[in-house]
Amino acid sequence: MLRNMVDEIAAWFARSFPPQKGLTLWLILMGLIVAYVVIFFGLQLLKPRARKSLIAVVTFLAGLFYALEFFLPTELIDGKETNALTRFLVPMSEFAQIVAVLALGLGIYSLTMIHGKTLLRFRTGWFYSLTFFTFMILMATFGIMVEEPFSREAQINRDIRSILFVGGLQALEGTMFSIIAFYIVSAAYRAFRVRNAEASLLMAAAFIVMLGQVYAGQFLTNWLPTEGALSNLRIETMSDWLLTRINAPAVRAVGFGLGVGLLATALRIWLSLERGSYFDREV
Amino acid sequence: MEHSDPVNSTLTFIICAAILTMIFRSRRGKQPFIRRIPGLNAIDDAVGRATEMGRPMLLQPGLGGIDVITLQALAILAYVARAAARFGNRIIMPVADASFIPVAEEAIRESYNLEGRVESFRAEDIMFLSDRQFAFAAGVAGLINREKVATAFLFGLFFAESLIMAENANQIGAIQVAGTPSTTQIPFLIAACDYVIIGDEFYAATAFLTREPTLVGSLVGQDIGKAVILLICILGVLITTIMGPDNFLMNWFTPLWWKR
Amino acid sequence: MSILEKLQTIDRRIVYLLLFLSVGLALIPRKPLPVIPSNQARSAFEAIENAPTDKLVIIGADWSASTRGENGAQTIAILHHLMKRRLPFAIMGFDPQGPELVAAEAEKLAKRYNYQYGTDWINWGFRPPGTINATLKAMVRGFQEGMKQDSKNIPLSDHVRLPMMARFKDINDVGVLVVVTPSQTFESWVAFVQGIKGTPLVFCPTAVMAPEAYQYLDSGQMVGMLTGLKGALEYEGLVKEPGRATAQGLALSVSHILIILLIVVGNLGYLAQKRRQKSQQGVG
Repeated sequence: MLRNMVDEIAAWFARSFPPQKGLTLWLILMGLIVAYVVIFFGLQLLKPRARKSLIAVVTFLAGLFYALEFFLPTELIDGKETNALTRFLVPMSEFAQIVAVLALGLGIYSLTMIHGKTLLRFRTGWFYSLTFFTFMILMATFGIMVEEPFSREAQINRDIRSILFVGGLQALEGTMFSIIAFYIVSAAYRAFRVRNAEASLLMAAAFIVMLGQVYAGQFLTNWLPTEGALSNLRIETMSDWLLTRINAPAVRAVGFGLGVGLLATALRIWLSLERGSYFDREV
Repeated sequence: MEHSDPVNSTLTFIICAAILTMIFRSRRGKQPFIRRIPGLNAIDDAVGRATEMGRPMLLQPGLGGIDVITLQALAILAYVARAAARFGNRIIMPVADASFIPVAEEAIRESYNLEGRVESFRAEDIMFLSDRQFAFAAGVAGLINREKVATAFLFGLFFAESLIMAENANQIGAIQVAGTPSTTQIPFLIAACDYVIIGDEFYAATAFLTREPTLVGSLVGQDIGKAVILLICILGVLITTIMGPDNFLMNWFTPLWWKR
Repeated sequence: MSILEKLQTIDRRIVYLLLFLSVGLALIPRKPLPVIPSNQARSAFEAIENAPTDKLVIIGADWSASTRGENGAQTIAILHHLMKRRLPFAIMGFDPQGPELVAAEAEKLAKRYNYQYGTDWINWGFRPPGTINATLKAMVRGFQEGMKQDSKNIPLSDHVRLPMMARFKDINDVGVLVVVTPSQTFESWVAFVQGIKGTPLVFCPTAVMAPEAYQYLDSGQMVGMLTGLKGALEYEGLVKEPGRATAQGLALSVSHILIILLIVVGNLGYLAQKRRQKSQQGVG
């Protein structure tokens, strides 16, 4: 029955809003943008209590779709498990992608405000703000520019983009990640001390796992056989045992707690049981 | 898993029912006792230290966007912001997801409002740096060093960048309190931070801090949920030991693809 | 404070310099070290070795240039294996750089193995990271509906330019999933892609992320795992294509030994301090 009802609603929407092209499509898009702006400012005019109630209703409905789609019983249609709501997964995924892209505008706005103020008032670090604007504009220009394959301009565009992307962004990100290696060494050197029995045990386990990861460590016990009882004393076997028999169950146990905690928090947010807008005042 | 199966649905229903029942019980006034977590006691000390030093505090909600983990992190940080508002400390909150800015602003403004210090709230201190993991980490490391933060609160979803931020704060002698559900980052945070809350303590933190009936009730409900899972694990071990791997309990919990 | 005690407070800049020098020098010799593949790498190799050639392999490339040292080496080793076996593959990812970086490596290898774009491999491109669950849920039900077009904006329904897409429709046509990521996106792949039909999943995390994933090997939700650079090194050995990871094997060993030595040195200082404090208390 639910399936029929959903199908009828979907069919009504399809009849009422057929796909548009050309000028009509652009007019509809413009109209939607105007409607979006009106709704946005209209929401600002609402009283906080009414706004929070509206947020609660929208939150509940948005969550309800995925909850129902997951829990409603399914039947096999064309070899795929399907229920009344499954057909809307693709449109919902597209909707989510569009909403995610809108965040880009917010990000650019925030960065422009912060760096714009610094730059205009020549505050300390204005040079970094200038660098930011320069590279944002360069990256956006050469990233968005349409490429006509095989033309000279397209080749120049590709070359500049390659300099910015490979020579700039990739190298900088790689550098930041490699810095972690230095921090890991200094943090390990500072933190590992044989203060008590537990710390000593932890350190012994760390040594075995570290040695088990590299050939220099494996070389130490290479003289032991690869089969039979003595093979258990090989460093890579001990390391594997620690990772799969000690580490994995511990991670799994922590995972159960985290999973239930996540479920509880999600439930509270979905049903707006949290207090206030994060999370102090009663709604 | 594309859709739920009866066993999954039943288990989810039991845990959700336990959580909701305990929330409503607690709201009616039957509030159970919960102990405090040492790492969370340190929050007040850390705020006090920043006040004494007259230096800002870094509030870091991790790399997540508007999701459950980051909202939970924001709930903890809103508590810290309230203490900061009370003592007149400046807070700096860089975020890695632009869409999170309005949510964070609203929550932190609310904290200042509750302390009657809304005029001290500076919206520009909640800033988007980058959604690229390491560009963001570099930005936060820069902020830590330039602003010489007295304390750093790292709560939320962290990946490899956690150590970049924590080590930089450590190097300038900042007190650090951290909490994350990312189990792989906990060893790094323990090495570099003063206090770390581990595992599901992250989700329990707001209940410990605020003692709100809803949150305390939810926490007790979560414990019932964990007890149910533990019971199933113990039963699973016992039944499988006695009856062998092909038993009814294993069959209940085995997904269809495994059986094929 | 004695010299021995000072060993626990070595200036961090000296520690950094030691690491820089030891890794830098260890990168110079080109002689590869012997490799003992782990069980996880061997299982990953077998999963791809036994994958049917008429099924698609999906590579989830959720990594960026920052982790190229580990994830790049893993990906290249796996691409060698896929192309040697002539397995068709599709690249997709939730990091804007991931699919592009993998496609660039695939293009280089395609010449050697005579792989044609659209016929033997395809790049579905990048989708916003916040939509991973929704996108994956839609993708498994049908590639054309879920992914719509490839990274060059060619519709997946254009079977003239993308003939392989006529053969592969949905998750039923997938032989192996390869997820290369330094983040937690693998959980979405396990939940929303692997869990539908139990498709074998090979996971390639960075070394720091690996401990969280061992539990999925036990449960059968992952068939194999390449742990960081070490995993890449092992895989290069298994496919007999020594490359970037093999060249860095010595540096990996040296860095680990350095950490162990530094911890030992720090503890010698700590024990010396403790002994002095004890003897002072005894005198007092």
